[in-house]
Amino acid sequence: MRFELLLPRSLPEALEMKKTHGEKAGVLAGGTDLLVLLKDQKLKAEVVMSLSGIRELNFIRDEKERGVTLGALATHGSVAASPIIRQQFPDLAEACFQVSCVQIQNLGTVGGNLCNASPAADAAPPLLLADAILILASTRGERSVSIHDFFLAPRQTVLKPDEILKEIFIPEVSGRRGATYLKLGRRRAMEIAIVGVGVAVHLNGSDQVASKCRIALGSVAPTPLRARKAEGILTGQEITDQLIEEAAEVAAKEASPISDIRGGAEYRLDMIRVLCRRAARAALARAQGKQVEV
Amino acid sequence: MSDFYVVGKSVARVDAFAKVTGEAVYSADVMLPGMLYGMAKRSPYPHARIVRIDTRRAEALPGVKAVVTAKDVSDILLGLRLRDVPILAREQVRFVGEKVAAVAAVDEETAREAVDLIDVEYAELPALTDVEEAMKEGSILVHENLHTYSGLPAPAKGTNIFYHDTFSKGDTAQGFAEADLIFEHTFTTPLVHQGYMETHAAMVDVSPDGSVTVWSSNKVPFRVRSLMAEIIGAPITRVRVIPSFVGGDFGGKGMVFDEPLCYYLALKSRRPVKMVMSRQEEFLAGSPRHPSIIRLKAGVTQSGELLAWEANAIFDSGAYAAYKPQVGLGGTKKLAGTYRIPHVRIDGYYVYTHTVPCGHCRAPGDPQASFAVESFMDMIASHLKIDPFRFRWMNALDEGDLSPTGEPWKGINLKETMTAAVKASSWGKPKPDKHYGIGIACAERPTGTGESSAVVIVNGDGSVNIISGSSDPGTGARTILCQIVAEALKVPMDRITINLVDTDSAPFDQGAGAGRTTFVAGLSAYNAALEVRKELVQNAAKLLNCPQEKAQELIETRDGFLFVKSDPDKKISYAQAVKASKKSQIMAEETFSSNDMDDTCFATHIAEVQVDPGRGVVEVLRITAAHDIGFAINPAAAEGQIEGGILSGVGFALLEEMQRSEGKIANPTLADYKLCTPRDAPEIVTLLVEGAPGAGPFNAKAIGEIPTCPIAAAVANAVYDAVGVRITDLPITGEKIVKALKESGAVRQMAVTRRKEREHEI
Amino acid sequence: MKIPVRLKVNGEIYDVVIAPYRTLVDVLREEIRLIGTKKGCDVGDCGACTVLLDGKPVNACLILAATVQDAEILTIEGLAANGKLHPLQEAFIKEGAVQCGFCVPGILMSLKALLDTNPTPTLEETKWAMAGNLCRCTGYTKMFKAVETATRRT
Repeated sequence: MRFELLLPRSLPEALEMKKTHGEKAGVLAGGTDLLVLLKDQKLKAEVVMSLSGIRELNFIRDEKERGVTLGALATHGSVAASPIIRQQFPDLAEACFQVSCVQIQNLGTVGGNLCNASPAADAAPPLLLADAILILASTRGERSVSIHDFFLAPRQTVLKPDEILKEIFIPEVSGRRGATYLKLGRRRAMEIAIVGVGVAVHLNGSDQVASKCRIALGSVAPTPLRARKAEGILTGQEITDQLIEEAAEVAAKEASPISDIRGGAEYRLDMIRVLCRRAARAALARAQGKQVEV
Repeated sequence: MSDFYVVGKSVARVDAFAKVTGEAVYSADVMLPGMLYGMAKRSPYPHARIVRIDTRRAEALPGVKAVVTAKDVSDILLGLRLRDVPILAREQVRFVGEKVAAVAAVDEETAREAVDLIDVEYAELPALTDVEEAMKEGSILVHENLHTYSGLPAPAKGTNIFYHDTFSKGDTAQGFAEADLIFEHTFTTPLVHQGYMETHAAMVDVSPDGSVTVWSSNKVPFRVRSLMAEIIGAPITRVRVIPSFVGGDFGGKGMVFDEPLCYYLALKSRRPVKMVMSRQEEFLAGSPRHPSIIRLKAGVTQSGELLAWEANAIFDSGAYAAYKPQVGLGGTKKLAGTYRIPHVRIDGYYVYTHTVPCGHCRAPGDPQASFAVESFMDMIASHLKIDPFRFRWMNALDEGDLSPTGEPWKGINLKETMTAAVKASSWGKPKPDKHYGIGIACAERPTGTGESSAVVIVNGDGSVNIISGSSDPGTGARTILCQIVAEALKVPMDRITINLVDTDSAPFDQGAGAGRTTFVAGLSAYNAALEVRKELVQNAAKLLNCPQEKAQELIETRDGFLFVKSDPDKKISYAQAVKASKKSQIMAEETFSSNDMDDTCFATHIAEVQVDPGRGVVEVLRITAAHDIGFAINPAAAEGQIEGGILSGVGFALLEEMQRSEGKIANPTLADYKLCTPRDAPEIVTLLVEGAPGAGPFNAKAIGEIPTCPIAAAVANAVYDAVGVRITDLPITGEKIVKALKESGAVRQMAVTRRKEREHEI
Repeated sequence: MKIPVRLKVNGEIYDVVIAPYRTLVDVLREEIRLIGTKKGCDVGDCGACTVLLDGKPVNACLILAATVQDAEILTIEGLAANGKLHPLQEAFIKEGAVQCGFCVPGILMSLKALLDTNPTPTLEETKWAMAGNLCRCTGYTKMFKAVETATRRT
């Protein structure tokens, strides 16, 4: 790989550079996606702009009752270890902890991973469950985009050529919420998910009736997605094993997995069912206040 | 046995310090002034004619100092035995990744760009990527001129089956006729990479006088020397191979790879040229383990006695056979296992296809054979409703039995390993969980032979140098040589030095491989040490007032001192003995050469697994491995070989597969070719079963390769025990297990035939 | 066009002039001549190039040297202090955890980072800390033992 390297020291400087170079400039955060693509010659960039010098993008901020904000450069490792995240969004912390390995977690940023828009991004399902909002910045100002509208296709997002992801805002969840993220890989580390499933269950008065249920799927469609029909089966209902079974079945129908070197489509469909079931049970148990290891 | 001085002890490896501090220099670490970076242009097609190569754009790129194609290099065909691989493809390419040109440039980026600027026009040709297709009459030929190649063990012409080896004993027709039941099944194993962490690296420097210096990540420096000398057309004294530390070999570094290209690039550019294979290139164009299709047929009595056995194995060799020192694979001989069988017939077929050329990968052919045989044994046992251990025990070889292929093995220690493994594991105990399983498998493997020489020198101060050209790619060989010499001379380890020596400074050594080093290099060093000891003793006799003719009998050595047995307090140092010789050192050189192949060893592995039937995920909980080691010169080093071998076997069983799609490797990265990570490591209990005499010093047997043999079947058998699913094509993935559970049972059912007159007894 | 880059490695300052797209692993090995850090795959799949960046293990092959000029970088050459081996290095030697040695620098870096924050890790924690480092020779068994040995001593 051969390119000119830009090293902006502030966000405004970066935005000016992005405006100048547009799509020609690859944006470098942790390097775990971009540099691999450049080395494998799957991508060519004449200019690379590294955000590493912009400290103000690397933070995890407790917004108290509003929620939590992650700076675009917050690494998977810092999110996995953050007491705020572990307390409020344990499924996100779990997902970040399951990314590849320690070294990759220390380099790779959640923001960068979302912008890379792989359907297998581990942080995506938990952020989909939490209705995260992405703040995109440019010299023209800032705009918010719901995570549900952010991904268009593998490696394609709604980011305009002059835009950089600035922050990820995760709105607060009130009440009793239990959530988990289950990742299927062949090995027990250094894996990209064959299937990833996140489930969140909200309880109100009862311990068995889900006031809200959310299901997010990774690696089984061109983008990470919410299985809304499956959610509809559980939301507002008393959660029984049979209902979970039904929801899992519907979730599989909402996915469109392909067969690739990591797994066949049929296996992936089977695994959506299995992981949905397990994730739903675990999420329910956690909403009930139980300690559940996954 | 505990009155050994230093052998039998887990002394620290002599090169561990350099490795833990980062001082150890591997081939890619060597840098010379003016060094250029080389890179190869590789074919994107599995089979094509090279119409035209235009290198002008590459040559014009600033920073490019040399470009070579087939016309710039010798047209010699290379190979360890069967010579069929050109230095650069000439007229046609035979696999995706075959080298067609190479460049040398001032940095890697420029080299990469230059490679992209080489224009190659190909005319695609139909490619043979299915091995069974390749065996058919009238199929296109991967090598039309096969019959002209040197090194063919037997004439072959107009075929892709370049070699067929066969072993037999008794009369299988008779045996099957007498059997009550006949079982048949087919097993398959995939393309698997050695997985060494250090990729191939080579550097060549050509002096103005034409002499050549080679650095290479390679475990056979003397073979590299002679091949290079042949290529450049000079006496071998004009080539000097300088070894570096080698970052793992596992069979993949026994042949030249880029050394010849480095030579031509260095010659043309008049600068040293280094080429380091990228990890992706390793997957495209290394020399991986042969995929196999193994058909087994067994004739058995009602009570479980093996009567007849037929094995038919097809090994897909890829586009070239050059990477195999024996053209065939030793594993073929293992296709009837470790059992007493009166009638046996084994056939091994080695076939060309337009895919990556295969070579030697830790215990070549054995893991494939072992997986098939030991899975088959369990399948038969299950059908007969006999416990898998008992079924093996009743058929297991005992001392005095002929091997399945009719050889009179000595020191058969199989049952001892079976007993040891069973005792130390949870075999026979109640299952802790519904989906827990336990499986057993056995294997046999001979100690490798060859030729090594060693020089042992006692210096004027009594310290010792060992000069050996043998290679230690991580096996611990160098340490073991020191221990052997230390034992012979009774000198403490810290007074012995062994260093890497180049091919000018060390006598010939065949190099590492086949588990031969402890045996062959070990005995050469041991014998040299004994010669030195003799001379020390004779010189000491002068100072100890001992008659010369009684010296060997009466004088002892300990801790670098010599004394008459009856008067241990009156001792003299080795330094004094050297001085008494009136020379500055006492030195001896010994060569040891052996082609005696009946030293063999055995192993039994027991695997305990937990299977999650929902996802099909197999967690390997524990492996209990009992190895017939003869004598463990360095127990920690032996355990290390076993532990590493087991983990690569677990990978073979569950994770590893170079996936091919129309001749192209679809997963050429360590992300998608899955080696076991630390989190995948099971608990490993190693049992070094000593006692049976081995050929090596102090009765040592080989240990480097057999640990990879029984493990895959042990895991497969454990999976069957856990969830009743029998997968007979590796790897055993979660996907296959889930599919098999859905289809309740096996992906392919074993065929069972009953002898006609017994059918009424069903 | 080359740019001047200042790196702080093992407590020393190195000023190099490099192309901006050079990775940290290449600059360490070639310009600075610290060859202890190895390249096993160059794309972050094997951990052989693991170094510590402000105390955290990272793949040096996925870092542009020019982007870490403010950081403290520790490589295997900096593990022994004042000629005295780190307890991990001693334990690796003692327990026979070193075979070909190629993965060892990266593994020692990952383990040092572990012990710096968790002086008495469980086996599970050790495995997680090392999970990004592949070894083909040892099966990892004696490395786990070495960590136990090292932590008993410190």
